[in-house]
Amino acid sequence: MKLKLDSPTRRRLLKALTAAGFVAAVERQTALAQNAPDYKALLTVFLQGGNDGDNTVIRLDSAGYAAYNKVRSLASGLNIAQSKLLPIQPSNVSTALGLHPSLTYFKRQFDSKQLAIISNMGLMVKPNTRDGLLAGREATPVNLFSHSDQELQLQSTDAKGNLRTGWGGRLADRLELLDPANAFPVLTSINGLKAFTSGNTSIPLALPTTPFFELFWAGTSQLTLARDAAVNEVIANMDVDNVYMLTVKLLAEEGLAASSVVKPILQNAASVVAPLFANLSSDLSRQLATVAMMLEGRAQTGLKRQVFFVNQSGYDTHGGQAQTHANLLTDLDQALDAFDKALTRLQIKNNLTTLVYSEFGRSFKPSAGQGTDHGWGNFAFALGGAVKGGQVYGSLVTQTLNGVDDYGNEGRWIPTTSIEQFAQPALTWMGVGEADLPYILPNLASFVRGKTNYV
Amino acid sequence: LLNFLKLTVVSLLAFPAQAELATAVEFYNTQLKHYFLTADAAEVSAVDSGAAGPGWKRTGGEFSVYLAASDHPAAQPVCRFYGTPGRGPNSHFYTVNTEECATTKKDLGWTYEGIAFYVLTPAADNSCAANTQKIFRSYNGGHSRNDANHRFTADPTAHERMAKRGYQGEGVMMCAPIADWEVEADIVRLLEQATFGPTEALVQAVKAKGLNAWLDEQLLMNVTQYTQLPYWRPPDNAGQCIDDNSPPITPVKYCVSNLNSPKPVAMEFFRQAQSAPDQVRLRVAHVWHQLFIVGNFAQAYAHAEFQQRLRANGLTTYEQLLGKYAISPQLGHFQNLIRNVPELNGIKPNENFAREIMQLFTIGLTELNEDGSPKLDAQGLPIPTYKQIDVGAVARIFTGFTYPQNPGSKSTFWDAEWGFMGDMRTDLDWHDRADKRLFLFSEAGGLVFPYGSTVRYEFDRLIRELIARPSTPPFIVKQLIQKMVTSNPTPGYVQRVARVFKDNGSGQRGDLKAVFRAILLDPEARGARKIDPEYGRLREPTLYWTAALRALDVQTDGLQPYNHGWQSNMPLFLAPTVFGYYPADYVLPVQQIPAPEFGIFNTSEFLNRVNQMNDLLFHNLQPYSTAWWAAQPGVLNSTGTAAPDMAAYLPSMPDPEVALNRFSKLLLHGRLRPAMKKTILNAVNKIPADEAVNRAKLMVNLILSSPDYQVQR
Repeated sequence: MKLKLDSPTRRRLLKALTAAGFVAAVERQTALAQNAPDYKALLTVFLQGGNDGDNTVIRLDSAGYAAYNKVRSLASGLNIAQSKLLPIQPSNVSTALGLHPSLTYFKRQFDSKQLAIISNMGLMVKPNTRDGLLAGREATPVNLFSHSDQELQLQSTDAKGNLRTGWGGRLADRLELLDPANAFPVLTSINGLKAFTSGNTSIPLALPTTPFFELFWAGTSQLTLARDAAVNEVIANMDVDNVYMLTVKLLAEEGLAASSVVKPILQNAASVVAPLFANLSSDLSRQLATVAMMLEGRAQTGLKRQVFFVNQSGYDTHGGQAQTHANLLTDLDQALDAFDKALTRLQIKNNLTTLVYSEFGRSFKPSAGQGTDHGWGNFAFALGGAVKGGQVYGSLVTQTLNGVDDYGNEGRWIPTTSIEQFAQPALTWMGVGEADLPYILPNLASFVRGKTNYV
Repeated sequence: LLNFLKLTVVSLLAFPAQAELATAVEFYNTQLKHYFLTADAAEVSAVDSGAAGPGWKRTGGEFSVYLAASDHPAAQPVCRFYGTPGRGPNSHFYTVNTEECATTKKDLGWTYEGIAFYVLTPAADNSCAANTQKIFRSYNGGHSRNDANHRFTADPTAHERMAKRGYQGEGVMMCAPIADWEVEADIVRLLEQATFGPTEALVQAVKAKGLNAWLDEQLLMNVTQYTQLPYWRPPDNAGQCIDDNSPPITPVKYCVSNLNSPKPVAMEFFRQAQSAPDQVRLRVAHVWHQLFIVGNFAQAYAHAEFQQRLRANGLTTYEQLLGKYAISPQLGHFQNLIRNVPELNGIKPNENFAREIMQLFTIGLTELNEDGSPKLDAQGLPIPTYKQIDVGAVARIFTGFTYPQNPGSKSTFWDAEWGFMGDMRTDLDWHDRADKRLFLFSEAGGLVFPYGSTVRYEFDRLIRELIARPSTPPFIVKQLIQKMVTSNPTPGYVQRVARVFKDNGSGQRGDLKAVFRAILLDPEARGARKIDPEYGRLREPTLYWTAALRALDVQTDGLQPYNHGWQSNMPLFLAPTVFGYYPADYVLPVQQIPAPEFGIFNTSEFLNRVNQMNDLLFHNLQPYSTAWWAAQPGVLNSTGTAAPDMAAYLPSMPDPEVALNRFSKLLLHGRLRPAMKKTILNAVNKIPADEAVNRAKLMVNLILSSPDYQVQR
């Protein structure tokens, strides 16, 4: 079954109240191969609040661990004993690393070369030097260390803070051109709309973590029929003379149109993937269960390319971090483990790549209250059957306060891998051609490519 | 083209003895890019039906006018001109100015068509007499290309924004009478902005009292209290806190739902929103609670204490309110102020609240002009208000706080248990006493906190100094405007209110009564018709519910409204982060227009809202059972939520159009689109006439589902 929805209309409407600037970009032809025979999907897992990367991946070599042990002391309440860390040995660097004890699935994936670690990833205007930054010759991202700004900028890939669409939405803009007749949204978020999900022409589909994506029964069949028809008509026939009403209309239209496809997928009692999440109850696990069910029902959408967004919040660990962080990583690890089993069961392990990242890392130097404050460069992860795992991409940070990688003296690492360098290999894997990359990653040309080809 | 439409000569029309006002209706032609105005009902229908050619659409702009000179002693005729065919522009022009009318009559490019309607002329200072409103004129500058066109509007926001489209503002050109429907439409809007939702009775009460007098009375009322629950210490083992669903209900037995949850407070919130008399004070507190977030604790008594703090201080001064927020143990617990200590053993003072008090509660991230626009440096870039080094300094000021003394608990700085009654205690021994230097780079001025001051002195001074900085007034008032009136206020609106924040007229800064009065009585907030394309705000889930409960007179214990908030990402009193339920800086991504509430609106939330109202109206069977709406045995004070009986509206139901007009007035300021009206009446007619309650509910369900209602404008 294919969704019938007048997509040209909705795009025209979107343009109607839009600055003329982007229209030219929309009209550009995609370099994507038409009628791609294979199915591919990209999933991004956003760790909201700033994951403490320095307690997620820890150097296990004696010098590296000693540096960690000195700053993240027992007194700080953050220290993880060397013996508790899950040891991993990247194939491309000599340094032994340890994963947070909660990340048992991550370790298995790394060992089986299906998980790649991207080191010191963060937002930059252009490649930075410590001297240049400290002397003020080089610009930092706008409002560095502010959650709201850095979350926006990591998802928009604009360190100047102007762009409000995201790289997921812009990817969807391009992927929708693959199959213009199919109006089912390419991007599905299970956590509402974030900067990442917004495109210029594509309208993200946001699904709940419950099985209900439909208009409910209104008490009698007469009432229900009359109501359903009238709701659709009220939305369809409205004059658009207000930008907020237009936005409600576009989302309402898409929700009403998509519900007929989505409802049976989410209410599939014979789902083979839903039971895999039965023992998990976290919000993230329910989000990933929904993604898994959508993947299971992907034939109903008719799409060959999909983008999914999920979000795990709670990483802003200013105080009492050790327990909170362990709980969060346990949740992440277990939910992704179940998701991985779902992909295996659906036989699409090589067809989906998962990226895990956060708005910033945290200060290496601990804070009163057994927590950490806002940092900058951070570890990110790529998982999947297509990933060239078991390796670390990008250089490891020298964890010295006031050292070569510190933007100050409290361990806020100056990134050496940009969000563009992180995103580009996955976009290329999804089939985005060179000509379209600048549309999705406008600042890509500022960075050297090739050192992060993890997929 | 309009030239074939003969203007009805208004003086020939028959009038009732008691002068009735006519409505001037504005049209815009998308091809010509011209505005057109007429108060002649026949001409309005003709243009509506396409008789004036393609491309004409109503703008939504409407204002009342006199149809005869005798309708008001000072009424003046408005001359109407049409561009002389073959010579002048394809456009109409209107003026009440005698001299301008005479001059234009001599201009061969314009042909006089007669008197369009009557209005009053503005005084020399551009003011309008009582019971009349300003009509603004803007000009497209088209004379040189023989394309002159003017827009006349009562909406000051639409007028101000015409500049973006190349129109020149020409100021107040007429004073138009205000009709009854305009008064009521304005009151409905005020009640949307300033209360938990209009009711027909309240509209009439405000009308009788007068809008200003009613507002002043509201601002001075005693504030409704939350039931103050006693201090309660959770069991050491969280597993001991269980709900035992066997009667009788006692607070100890129903620990999870009733003691260790904001649920009882949230339920009381909905009950009071439904019926409390001090609507404005409670609504103001609701605005503040969306800025002043706390979390990381569950105790009901702590939520009650905190929310009452906001109610009690929400209309004092900003300094007092922010101080009461910042010194609360709820905040100290949430933002890691409690047991924050000076640098010790390589552990630095905690920066959590140090950053957020600047970023979220006072100066914001970038320096602002008085009108809320960012100040720019020589390179055209925004100027940061603070640097990381300042966050570190403020973090040192915020050292030396601990929990208040709780009944029967230990009292020292490190031993004090969680407790949320009263203010945090300070301890100089754990305060960083060294001097602190802030904002030394800033054009807005540096601050030095000398060695040796007390904890509270530095705390109070910091708050006062932050509020005194120039960016605080526009930064705060813009958010207040956004939470009540419109997501994208004009710079002029922000500036007018910011000036009141800076000085209430008696030299006081941050007088919140004056600030809220300025917000609610500003010309951008008031008026019968708001037609600017960027005006309004999406109703947030909480207010979407309270407005429905009030309009439909639903009897509720507040439980299901609270539960539904979870589904809509606005679980009351449990905002996920210090950034609130939704991001204050969310913008529509393509249009780049501020739209905070859209941060939690999406395809799923649209269906939620239709379903939630459907659910409330019909207590439907899917996916919840009707038992869901009944009193819940595990919840204190649970009486259930009744299905609305629609009794008040039943007398109007024999003629569905009459009933629909009532709903339109109460829910849409009387602005029901003709197409939507037709759709709703068609739908209602499919339901048998003897099912009057169902018919009424269907009308309401459809209105509440529409984008027209979802956006409060």
